[in-house]
Amino acid sequence: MTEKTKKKLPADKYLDSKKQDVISLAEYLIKDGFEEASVLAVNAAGKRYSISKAGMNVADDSLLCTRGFVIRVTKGVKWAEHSCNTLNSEIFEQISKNLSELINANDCSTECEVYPDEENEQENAVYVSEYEIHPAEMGDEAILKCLEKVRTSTLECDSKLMDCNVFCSYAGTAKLFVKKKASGKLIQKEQNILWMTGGISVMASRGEEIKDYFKSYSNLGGAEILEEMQKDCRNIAGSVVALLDSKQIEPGEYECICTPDVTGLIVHEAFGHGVEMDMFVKDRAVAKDYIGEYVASPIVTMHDGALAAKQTATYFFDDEGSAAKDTVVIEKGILKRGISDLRSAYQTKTSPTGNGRRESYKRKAYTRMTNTFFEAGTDKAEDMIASVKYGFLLENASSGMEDPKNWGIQCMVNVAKEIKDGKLTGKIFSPIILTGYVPDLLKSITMISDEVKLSGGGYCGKGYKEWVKVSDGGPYIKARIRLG
Amino acid sequence: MISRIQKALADSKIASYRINCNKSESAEMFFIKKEKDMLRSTEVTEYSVTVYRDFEINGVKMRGHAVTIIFPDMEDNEISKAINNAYYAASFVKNKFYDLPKPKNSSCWEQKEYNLKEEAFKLAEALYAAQTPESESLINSAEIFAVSKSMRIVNSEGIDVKFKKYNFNGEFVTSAKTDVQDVEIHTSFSYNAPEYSQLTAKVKEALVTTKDRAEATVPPVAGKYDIVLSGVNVATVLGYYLERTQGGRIYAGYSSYKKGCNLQGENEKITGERLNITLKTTQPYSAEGIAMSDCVLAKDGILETIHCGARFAHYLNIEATGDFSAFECSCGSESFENMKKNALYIAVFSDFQMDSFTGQFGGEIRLAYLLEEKDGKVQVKKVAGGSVNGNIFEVQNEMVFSQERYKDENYEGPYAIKLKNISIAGE
Repeated sequence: MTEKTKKKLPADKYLDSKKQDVISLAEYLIKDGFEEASVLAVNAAGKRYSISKAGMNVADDSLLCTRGFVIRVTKGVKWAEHSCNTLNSEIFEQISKNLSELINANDCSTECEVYPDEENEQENAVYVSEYEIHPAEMGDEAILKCLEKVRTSTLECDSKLMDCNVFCSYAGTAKLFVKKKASGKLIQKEQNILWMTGGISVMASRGEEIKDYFKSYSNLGGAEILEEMQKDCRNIAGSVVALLDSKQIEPGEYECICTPDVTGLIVHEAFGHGVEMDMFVKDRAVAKDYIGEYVASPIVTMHDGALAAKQTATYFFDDEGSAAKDTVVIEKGILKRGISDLRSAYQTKTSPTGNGRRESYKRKAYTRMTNTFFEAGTDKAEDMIASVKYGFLLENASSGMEDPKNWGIQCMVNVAKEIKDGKLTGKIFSPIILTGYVPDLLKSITMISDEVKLSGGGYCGKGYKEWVKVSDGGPYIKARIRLG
Repeated sequence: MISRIQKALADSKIASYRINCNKSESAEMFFIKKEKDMLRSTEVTEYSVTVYRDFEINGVKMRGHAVTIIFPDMEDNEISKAINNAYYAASFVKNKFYDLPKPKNSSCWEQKEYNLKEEAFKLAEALYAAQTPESESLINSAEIFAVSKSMRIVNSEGIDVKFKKYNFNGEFVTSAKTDVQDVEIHTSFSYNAPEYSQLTAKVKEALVTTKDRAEATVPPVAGKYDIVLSGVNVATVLGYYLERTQGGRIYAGYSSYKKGCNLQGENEKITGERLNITLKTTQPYSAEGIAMSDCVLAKDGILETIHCGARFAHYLNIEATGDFSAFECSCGSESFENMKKNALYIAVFSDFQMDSFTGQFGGEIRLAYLLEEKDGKVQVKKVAGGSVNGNIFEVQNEMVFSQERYKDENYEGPYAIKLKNISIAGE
């Protein structure tokens, strides 16, 4: 792996071959009486590799490997969609008839207002991402060999380890978006994005109880990520062995230092979901009443955007054709604005932020986060730990659940390391549940470290479904948090 | 398409394979308040091809496999290329040899036909029927998905089966407001048939709990409690046993369960309910084409069936059952009302989770009722906030099940479960 030159992805041949059909369908639907018709065509190749005691696997990932079309039509405030994976002129009439039935059955009367946006109206644009090593060029054999090496090196670190599950996946996703308006304007956009993620999950047993420690890796790029995984084997093995001596924490409110992955979990779950503006439209998010008000400590600034960072949620236009942005959600503690998909932007009479995302072409678009993080501060992580009289260093975020209506927090973290008089005591508590009220937590932030780290190894759901790739993170933060 | 795929496999001299064809259609409705915000439909056909490649390493017979996805508009040369790439990848997948499933007829599978659009509209009616002008809480928004899946499974051993199944699922959010706070509760539903009355009942229950949540303003006092969980949370707790008895988990050493062992601990004195669990089929054939039938997982706590597909069954030298996701558990003898006395009944979590590796379970409390008996009277206090943190290993020997029953897509069994001496983080 010596190649370091960045290469650009080529245009997608399949989408090129379908472009005329897609344009013809949009024009057909306008002739059939719809005010606006758009077609998103997707061709995505994605593969997943894994090795564990249970065996080896290589597979096209059904979530990542998709090819199909979603057709949207509008008549005033009424919208309808049809998803399919066959498209030719013979079925235009059937698609149009089906969409007419759907739109006629719609009784929506919610007022909408279209805010024109020059970037969204750009007529012809092509965007591609860069990579160093394309996983498809590297090949299955070489990728599996790298993973085997990571697994063997990790297991050799400690005889107490019972298994090490190593995996990686990549997705090259090409999209063509075409929109035709009754006024005659045709908008056409293309993009081709490649990302790769990996993970090491190590297990050790304490009787029937199995402790595990997981670390993920991600990039906007290719197989260069596999080198990074190799470097972490010893740390990860040590972390799970340490968990064998972990105890259950005494519930209470403590001074906490959050590592960047835990900061990311708080940013994403506790606050990010609450500024998704489709929740504003439904009166499901309390944040809409706090625009322009302090919701966090004045040292906190928060971003979300497909163009806010180069990570797994980076793209150039969203699944509704809106241009990607870098949205400042909280600026110096003040809530500035939310993020939106096209429909919620129209319904709230604001300009879209390029956050309309679909799990796949088969699903509806919702307002979704992309790359979400707190800006860096000025403190050093070691000074932050030294400032704690009694508290915990929280690390290894595992999961969380949003509560935008009430700003309740539920975040699960794997490790709490005890800090006494500014020093780590070596005592570990696990697992940990963070609860509380979001503004209380964000306003209690008193220190922020000077380095931001983002991780895009996971997926984000809307409730319990609609999985999309996101990244989140930030610096180390110091806050008061209720732990249980 | 299947014959084109088989021709490509034959041309590449690939002897062992499996083809899965899934044709799905859906009618989808999205509501804000009572208004239809958007209607959608889908019609998608997908093929996945698993190719197997046999080889030897140091005299040990191996069988590698890889999966490729085939799209309906692929040309023959594209299909061949995808299959050959997968066959090449399979040569690096070093799994020990195992036999592929052979044809075997499943017991009779009858599936009633439904019109998806009509059923979606009828389910919407059932959902909104629960909200009356007198309701103190409201349906904020809802999503309904009526889905049909037609599946065909063909493999190189002669399996060629097809079946159709339906799923009617969705979610709804209920909200309520008091002078103090404005709250909501998110509820999901999923049925294999359109269960209109069950859906209406589910929404009615959610409307009541949402109103109660609006009246709950303080978290419980931190400490140890006997807790009662209900409905889907009971399925989550008992789902631990379904996961730990999977052949794949046992083969990898993630679970020490063996046939004949006591699921609730070999050296434990069981003073509570003993587990009687049956694995339930939700389709006639597994994704591998294995004919599926209901089977006893545990009788009086003793493990009778390790369940898994062909590969792990071969490695463990047991019969392949196919992969199960649904189960039924016998109820207990105590009434739900009685179980709640002097306990913390947690009706709603933000997200209740069970980690089947560590046995740890927990979640943030959205609504709980603390029922305390004083001077012969039961006092009920509504609380919200704080969290539960427990471990199944510490409570499985004295679980109490309700006599009342609960049913959803993947679980049928006690409506409520009592777990003793659980740590609660609160005020």
